[in-house]
Amino acid sequence: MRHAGSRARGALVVALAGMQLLVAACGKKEVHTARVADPNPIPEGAGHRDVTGEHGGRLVYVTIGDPKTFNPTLANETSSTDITSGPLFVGLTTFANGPQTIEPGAASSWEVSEDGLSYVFHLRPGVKWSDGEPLDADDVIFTSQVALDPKIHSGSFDILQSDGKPWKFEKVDSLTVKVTLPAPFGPVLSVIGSMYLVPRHKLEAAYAAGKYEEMWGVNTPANEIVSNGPFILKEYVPGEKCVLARNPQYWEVDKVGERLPYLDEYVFLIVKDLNTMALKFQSGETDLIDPIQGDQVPLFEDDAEKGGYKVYDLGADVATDFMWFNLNPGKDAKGQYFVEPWKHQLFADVRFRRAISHAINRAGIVKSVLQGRGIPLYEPVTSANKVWFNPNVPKFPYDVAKAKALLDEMGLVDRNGDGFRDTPDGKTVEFTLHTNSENNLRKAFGTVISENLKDVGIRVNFQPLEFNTLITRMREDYHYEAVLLGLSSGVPPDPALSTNVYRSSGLTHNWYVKQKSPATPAEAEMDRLMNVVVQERDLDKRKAAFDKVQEIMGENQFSIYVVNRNLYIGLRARVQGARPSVLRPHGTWNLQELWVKGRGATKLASN
Amino acid sequence: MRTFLLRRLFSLVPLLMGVTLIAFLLIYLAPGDFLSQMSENPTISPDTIEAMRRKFGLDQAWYVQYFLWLKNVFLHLDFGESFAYRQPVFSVIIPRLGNTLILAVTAAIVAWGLAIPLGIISAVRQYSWVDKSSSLFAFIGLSIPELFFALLMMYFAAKTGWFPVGGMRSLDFNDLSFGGKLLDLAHHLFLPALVLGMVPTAGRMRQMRANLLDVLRLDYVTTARAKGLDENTVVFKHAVRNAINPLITLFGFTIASLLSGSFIVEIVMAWPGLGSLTLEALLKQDLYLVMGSVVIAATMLVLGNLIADILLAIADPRIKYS
Repeated sequence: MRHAGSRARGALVVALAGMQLLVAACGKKEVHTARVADPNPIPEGAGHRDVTGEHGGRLVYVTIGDPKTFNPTLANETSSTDITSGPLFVGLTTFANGPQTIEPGAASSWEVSEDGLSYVFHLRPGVKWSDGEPLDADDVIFTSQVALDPKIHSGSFDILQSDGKPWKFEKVDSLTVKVTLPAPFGPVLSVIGSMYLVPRHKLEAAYAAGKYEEMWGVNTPANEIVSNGPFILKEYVPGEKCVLARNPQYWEVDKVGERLPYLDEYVFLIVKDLNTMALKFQSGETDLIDPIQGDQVPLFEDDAEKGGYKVYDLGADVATDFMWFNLNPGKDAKGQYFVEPWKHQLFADVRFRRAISHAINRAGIVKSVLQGRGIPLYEPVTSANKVWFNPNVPKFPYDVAKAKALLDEMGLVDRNGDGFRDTPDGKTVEFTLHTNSENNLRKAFGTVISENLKDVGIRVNFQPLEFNTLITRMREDYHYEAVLLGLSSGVPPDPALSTNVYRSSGLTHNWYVKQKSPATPAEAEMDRLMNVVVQERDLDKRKAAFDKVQEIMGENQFSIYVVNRNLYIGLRARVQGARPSVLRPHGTWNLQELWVKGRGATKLASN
Repeated sequence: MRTFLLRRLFSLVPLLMGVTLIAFLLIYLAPGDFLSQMSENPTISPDTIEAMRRKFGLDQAWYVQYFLWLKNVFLHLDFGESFAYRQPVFSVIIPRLGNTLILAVTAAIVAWGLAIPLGIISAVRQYSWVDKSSSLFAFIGLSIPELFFALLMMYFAAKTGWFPVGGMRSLDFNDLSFGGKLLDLAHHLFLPALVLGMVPTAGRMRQMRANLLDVLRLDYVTTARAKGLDENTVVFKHAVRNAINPLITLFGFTIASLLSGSFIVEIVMAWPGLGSLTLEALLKQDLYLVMGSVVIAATMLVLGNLIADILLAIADPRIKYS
């Protein structure tokens, strides 16, 4: 439904809008009557949320990509998971983005054995799939079977394992499942929530026939897709929209015992162009823009009142921007060094990296590039992460004198009067810095950093590269000197799920990937501590170990963190119940509780 | 004529092979592959990525991949599977094809329907106000870049509220009556078709005008007038028919570009066509999906030329094919 504004419209448009209103009203009437009767009993094990709201209405979100699959086992990028993970499918546990806690999902409770190696999950009695079939332990066992099948390449294959061995799932009775771990693993409850349940009765035959991966592609008729989340798939039109409708069998109720969710429809409009996306929101065609692109925030703030929406400043984001030097000492197949040995010697010297950190004017970047919408960053995990942030990471803040002193100490001084420092054997201290050319803000950061380093006598050749080119250099080719990039956080933001960043053997251990054995004692210590983070069950011990990992990172400046941007979303004023969080999906993580003011009332009146 | 047609259709085979080979090579030469971006996800292990690379055949040499693809195309008409969608490429492409055709055909009809009559009037009444104002329009149309014009129209739609800001259908499209659906579609189609039709209208109009002016100066036109034929017969039966030949050839190219000419407009104006799909496939290096689009574009080019040649033979009796 087009948002009726006060603006003048052509006669054709008015006529058209009137027609839509009529038809829409009739359509909604049916839905409402159906709900008053509510043919589906509220399940015995229903979850309760302490919220109230009005039923009805539609929330329109705008997204940049088409979903690639509706199969939650295979979905692995956000344009698909935004739809499958949460709105359509729920795992045994869920993660509440607001308080950053683990909550019951399809399982209402669980017990952990003394040794932490076995977990017993109790499913909610009476819960049904959206087609009315009961959801029981067989569904959980089937889901684990497909998720752990190496032929299927499920997104959760690597995380449902400890020590390289898969977890064992067993059915105890029709509503009880036992999970046994071959080795200790800390965040079991976080990880198990990302194993989104799939209905055995719909998919088992295909799995047996070896066709699981062909199931529930985007061409599947909507009513074939049976889900257990608050919504069901109603319609997908390629390149245009994906419409979800409320799941009439959903298992959560509000304060007065009415079935959630409140919304009748949750719509993903697909728009490939960011400018058009912004215009669509501003003209009232969509209800939510999440997130607002960094450079567009001022435009939205100015227009908010007139446009009838609110811009939420969610504070520091979980995403980081940082740079690192290539510390890989190896050679390629032709015997060429990835980094020239004399440069590698510089980069590997911790004094050099600390000098760089001292030379970067982070506050200046925040002020000039971000117009104050961010803070200087020194930690691998930002303050947005309520559990894992460590404020005591060693910092090497902006201090030109200290930077110069460190470089002098290394014997790097200007020997030929060109304004740049030289090594004792006369080589100019310079390096090439890459970033991904698609990101305008990051290109601006790189320009400021280059200027900052020039002030301490280091020449930077700043070369933005196309993203795929950059990744290939970082992960396969290794011929590069320094990179400026960012990393966001998964949800839940548990470091055990990003071990590949901190472990020396990891593929995203940026400065030197896939090490056969730790290159430095510091990295060996980080590997040891990460084992504690992954295996320990006690949160305090895990936190202490990860605090230490972050301190080692800070001490050594393997990554030189630059800024922590603020995060912004825009939400139309009539949408109620929103509690935006810094974790994805920022505006809609409590989708069950959202409702649209006025929509419900209009509908009641029309009945 | 029949041998001519058959020869043309057969020539499609080597052409497609050449075009797909070049496309394949270009994608291969671009750094990274479909799985590169996945390697940035810290929860996925390098082993998993290698396993997927083997599964998709991306660990093979490019020529092995290409000939395997070619073999499947010739033996089974199997154009491969999209990595992202895990579906046969044409099942992903076909739903988009119709949308692109609706937009492109509308724009083409508008463009040709306006350009030919305006061009004729401008030539017959040279330096009249119709001629002058349509010339002005043509220069404006030719000088505004499509991308800028599209953005401008989106801004116009947002500010006035007269038109939807991009998209092809209203959210409540399915609830509308048949007439309502047509109106809704027309309402959404107006701006994209305007943007897409602007440049061809301007260009074709100027060509029609220039061609006709040339022809009107030829001796046989003077002869016809001297014989006492009335002016309408002179212009429409004799002059226009000769002046329009080059435009028929151009019409062939128009058909060829129907599916590929609207990419920018589709992306900016959120039209759910082939353009946005192909762009995403290219950026993600979804190899066979790109190949599918290339095959379609090349086929359209050949068919377009073929249709133009047939039309030429009909318009000009001097042209014979054998």
